[in-house]
Amino acid sequence: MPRPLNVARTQHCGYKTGMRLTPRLLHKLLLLVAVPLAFELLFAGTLLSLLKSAETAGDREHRAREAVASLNSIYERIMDASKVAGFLLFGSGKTPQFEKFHDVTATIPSDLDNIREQLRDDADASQKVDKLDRDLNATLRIMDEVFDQMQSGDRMGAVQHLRDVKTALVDLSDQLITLRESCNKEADEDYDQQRASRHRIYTVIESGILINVIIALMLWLYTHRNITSRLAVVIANTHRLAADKPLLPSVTGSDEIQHLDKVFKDMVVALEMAREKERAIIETMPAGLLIVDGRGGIQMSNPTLLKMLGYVSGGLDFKHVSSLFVKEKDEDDASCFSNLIEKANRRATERIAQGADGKTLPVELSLTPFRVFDNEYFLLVLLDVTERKEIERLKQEFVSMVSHDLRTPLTSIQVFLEMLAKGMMGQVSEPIQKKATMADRNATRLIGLINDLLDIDKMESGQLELACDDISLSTVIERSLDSVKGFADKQGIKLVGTETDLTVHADPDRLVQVMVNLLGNAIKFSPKEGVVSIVLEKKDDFAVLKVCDQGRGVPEKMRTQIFERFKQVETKDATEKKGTGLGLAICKAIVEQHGGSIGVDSVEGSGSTFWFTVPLKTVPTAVPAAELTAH
Amino acid sequence: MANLLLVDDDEDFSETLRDLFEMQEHSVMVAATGGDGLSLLSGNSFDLILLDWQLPDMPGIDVCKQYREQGGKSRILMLTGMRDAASREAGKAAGADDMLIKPFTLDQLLGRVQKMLSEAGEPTA
Repeated sequence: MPRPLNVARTQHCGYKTGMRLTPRLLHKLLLLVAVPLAFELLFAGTLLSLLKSAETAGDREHRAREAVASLNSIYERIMDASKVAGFLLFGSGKTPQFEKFHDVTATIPSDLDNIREQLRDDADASQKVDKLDRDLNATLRIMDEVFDQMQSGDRMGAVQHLRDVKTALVDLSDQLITLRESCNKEADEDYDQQRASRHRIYTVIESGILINVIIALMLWLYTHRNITSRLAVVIANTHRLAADKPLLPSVTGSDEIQHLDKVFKDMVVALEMAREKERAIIETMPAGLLIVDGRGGIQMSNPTLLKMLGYVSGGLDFKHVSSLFVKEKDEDDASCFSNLIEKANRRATERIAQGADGKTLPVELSLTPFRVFDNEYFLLVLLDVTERKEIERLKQEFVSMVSHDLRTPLTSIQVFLEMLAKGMMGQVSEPIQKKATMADRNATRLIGLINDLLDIDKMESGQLELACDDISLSTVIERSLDSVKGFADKQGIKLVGTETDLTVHADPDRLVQVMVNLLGNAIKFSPKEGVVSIVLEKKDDFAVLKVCDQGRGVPEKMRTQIFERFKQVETKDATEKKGTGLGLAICKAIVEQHGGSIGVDSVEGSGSTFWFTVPLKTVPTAVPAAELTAH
Repeated sequence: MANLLLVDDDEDFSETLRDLFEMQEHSVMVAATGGDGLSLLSGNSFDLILLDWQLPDMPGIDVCKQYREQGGKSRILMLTGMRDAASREAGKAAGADDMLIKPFTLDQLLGRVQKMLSEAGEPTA
């Protein structure tokens, strides 16, 4: 199955793009804030400037009007002073008239100061006020002289001076009128300027409102085109994905929205790929697949299952899962479903399935629960094991055939060859006897090979059965020694047994098989005239049986391996010593099935001790060993 | 010198064993079917019966069972290729005294026969 490269690449790309991403959306948002703000600042600045200008004009007008009022006051005083001077000229010239003149002119200096203050910014007007002040003071000084002359009785001199005063007063009034006209003109200009400023303010406010509206519309358009309409595409695509509709084209640009859209599209591609992979797997897998809800209702099935059970597409919709199986005793729909869950949960179990036409077939069933939010579901995998069952049956028949049909002729051959080799059929020549011995040896090898293969077959199928009983170890040892005695004699090996009264709980034939195998190996690998001995120990609840030889020993690295199938210590004289390589593996399986263990201690070059443990009998009995074997 | 009955359908096997036992100076009768075996058993007395596991007309254990049901006391050695515990139990239950698994060596056969003949004087289980 290919690796899910695309998904991985999509994620990787997304990450890298994210690292390089310019925050364009932030720029757009800044623009949305900055444009109205800049305009508002400009607008407020313009308004403030116009207001300031209007205020200044207003202030100037006010001062001009004040100055005009003061000039009018002075003018009236001058007119009054002129009348008083006329009385003096043509009247009695008494003192009260002088005092009146002084009263009339007394406030003029303060009025002048007021005018000077109001017109302080106008240099030309200030000069005129200064001249007026100087001329007025000169006139008052002449009046003082007139007063002195009147006091001294110089009437002619006084009259002369009074005429000068009159002239001076006329001149003063002319100056006042000129100044007043100038001030009035100034005030009118300022008034006009104020009006103009006010008008401009109105214009600016109206334009500002209009421009604000235009800016708002433009920003709305900009936001819509650049943000909301593009976001809407992304949102619409999420809905379209959920509704299984084709997606809209990708959004343009290079901002976060475009990135979001790209990541979303990549995700959709990855999802689609995962979905297609899942679909391909589900539809093409050779096993039947079912998804059922927590109550056993079938939610989904794959084509293999429909074909296996002979249903048409959709034929399993709304059915209960128990309808696919042959009910066991006392089962109803609910208990059948709960039994399936109990037996097949995460492990394979066998069950008889029932097809649409009522035909039954054996299936291997396994079940895996899973949750989607709060809802429980079960995934059921069904394998049609009809073929496997048939193969198993054929294999069983074959094993049975080998067990019986092959053994009988082999026995005939071996017994005959032994009889021939031992001279029981009458004396034969030495070459014939030699050949008969060789043929006998090969028949024995062939028998061993068949037995080993059958044992291995049983071990693999878990059918290695034991017929355990409390048995005397001495019998086991005796039988084992009997079996290998001929071979030992032939090899020139001395066998040393041991006496014991230990009783173990074991299968006697299998125990003998282990002992014979170990003794056979020991004899095979011992040097001529060597000794093979059996040593017995008791350790905790186990008997430890040891077969010691004086052979070449087992290299350390091989000491575990030799108990695996087809592993043998490599030998130089391999032809002579070879076997199937299954013997020790079978011994290990037999010993372990008894609850014991097996191993080898060895000093390379000076011999090995193969040992194994067997559980001692648990309850002591007084039955003699002889009775056990007698039957 | 003992009277032996061999019930086996394999002619070569029967002949080899008959030759062997006759060399041992035993008297051997041979039957090729379970039915023949049972009829020989009903009319003769044997010290040891060697009975094949699988016969053409009936399983060896059925022969064994019927013989025991008829009150036969002779010792029976079943010759079988079946090495599993269930078969062994079935043989024992049918009344066989011992079982020898094929293929066996000459020594194993002679040893077992000798042992059973020496025990033949004792009451059977």
